[in-house]
Amino acid sequence: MSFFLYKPHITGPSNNITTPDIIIDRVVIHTDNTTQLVPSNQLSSQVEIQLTNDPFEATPCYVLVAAGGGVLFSTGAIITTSGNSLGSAQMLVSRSAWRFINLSKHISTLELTTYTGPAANPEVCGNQAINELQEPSDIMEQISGNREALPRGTMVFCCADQLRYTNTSPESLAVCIEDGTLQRNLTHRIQILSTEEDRWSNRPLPRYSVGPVGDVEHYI
Amino acid sequence: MKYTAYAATMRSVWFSHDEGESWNRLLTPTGGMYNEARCWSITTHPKRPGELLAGTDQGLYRWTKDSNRFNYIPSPMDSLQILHIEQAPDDPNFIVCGTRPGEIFISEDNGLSWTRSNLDSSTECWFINTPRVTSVHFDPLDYNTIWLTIEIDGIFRSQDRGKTWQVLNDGLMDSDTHDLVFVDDDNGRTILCSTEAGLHKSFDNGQTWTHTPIPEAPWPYLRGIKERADDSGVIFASVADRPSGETGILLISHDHGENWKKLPIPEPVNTTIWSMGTNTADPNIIFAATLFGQIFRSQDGGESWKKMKREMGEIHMIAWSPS
Repeated sequence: MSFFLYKPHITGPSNNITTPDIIIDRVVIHTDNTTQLVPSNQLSSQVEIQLTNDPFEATPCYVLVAAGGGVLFSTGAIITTSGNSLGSAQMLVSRSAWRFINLSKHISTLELTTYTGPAANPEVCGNQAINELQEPSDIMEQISGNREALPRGTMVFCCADQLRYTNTSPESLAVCIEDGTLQRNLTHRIQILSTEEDRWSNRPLPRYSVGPVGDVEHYI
Repeated sequence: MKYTAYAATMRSVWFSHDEGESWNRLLTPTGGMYNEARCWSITTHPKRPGELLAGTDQGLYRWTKDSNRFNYIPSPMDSLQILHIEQAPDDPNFIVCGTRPGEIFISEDNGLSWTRSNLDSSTECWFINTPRVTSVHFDPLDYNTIWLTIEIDGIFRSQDRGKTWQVLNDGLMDSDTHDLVFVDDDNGRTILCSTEAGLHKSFDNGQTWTHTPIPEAPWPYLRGIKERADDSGVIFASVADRPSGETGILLISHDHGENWKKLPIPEPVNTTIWSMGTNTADPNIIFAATLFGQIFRSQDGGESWKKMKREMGEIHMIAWSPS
């Protein structure tokens, strides 16, 4: 009964935003021409994650999400550390999303671009046209038999395998889908923090504050 | 009879031990629930005196009189809003919770384990984006049958305790459904459903619905609908200018919803009357609460009402049970 509560902000072509909360309990990764079901409890919309100092692989993705008002189209990344399978990958999905129906007629013009470095001065890491990846409609048809819909609770990560890269140090990674036709883009920036990093140079022990009630010798 | 009244507020659960005159909540240091937890739902069960279940946006909790604290009940609903809780009339261990998003979670073992029901409700709606369960009812004639209203998706019924569901929306003018009342008498069954577009009735156990305007209602928006807990045919309906609107009124029917009149609630009512609390232990005692925190009490079966001094900011549900 594990599930992830996805809270997208869906921007329509007229800039209206809707905010349904959607339960996701079936997650699929399409990568290297294979399809794999993965645990939904590895899903996250966090913008910061922690990794050990082991080398990691980051694979940018476009993401399809089943929704009552029409399939959502978003972006994200799959993060794996060396030696670990997709089954233990961290799957990161942006809370910003579009409706697939608003893109389907010009999906071939969309580009997926990855950036590294600081947000104010990002460096392009690579880009790939969406139509060079597996087509969203093909993926949906494979999963549901319907080229415009996914079964309830389903989220699909379609990996841009050509843009996969390996790194050995903490990184800032942004995955961006650019829609030139509607003049908009959708970006998910992920700060990858090392478990060795510490915001405290000398981490203090936790404190206990009694509050306004006077002398209390011990909690309860 | 001594009783305790409970109010589910946006700052946890408040208790009144003096018939609603004064209200207090548990201390955060020892109460077991964050004092500003958003509490959406509460329920009591006649077979469990001194026990209250509370649904919040931080999970499900059980308060007992003996412990005088809330004990967290682990469940898959921690990240959801638990908007309604009902226990089977014949078995308080059988718990049904309705949430936002519109899902049903069922425990058959008093909350030790949970199953998410295959309720195929809408995952999106235009108006409120995320549909939610607005009421859960065990059928008074058949406790294996569970009824739901969902905002916004209509009326659902399960005849196998939540294993399978039917959607029963035929004839509804609006699928923004809020609450149900079941009237079973010598003439058969009538079900009343409150919706955004007014009152609907079904005479065929929910298969079809007929919109039934109430001339005494100045607005179509019908929120709560509640039967007095004595099978006397007395039904209350809250009507408002809109959800979370400027004001609201309470209507009473003495003939199972055939005819209605406006009740003399002390005014001004600050918004929609959202919840009414009744108990078979004394049908004459009824609480009503507006969404923006006013509390009203009747001690004569709903014929007259007193506004209580205390206001709570926001109340999502009100209830009472014998102490």
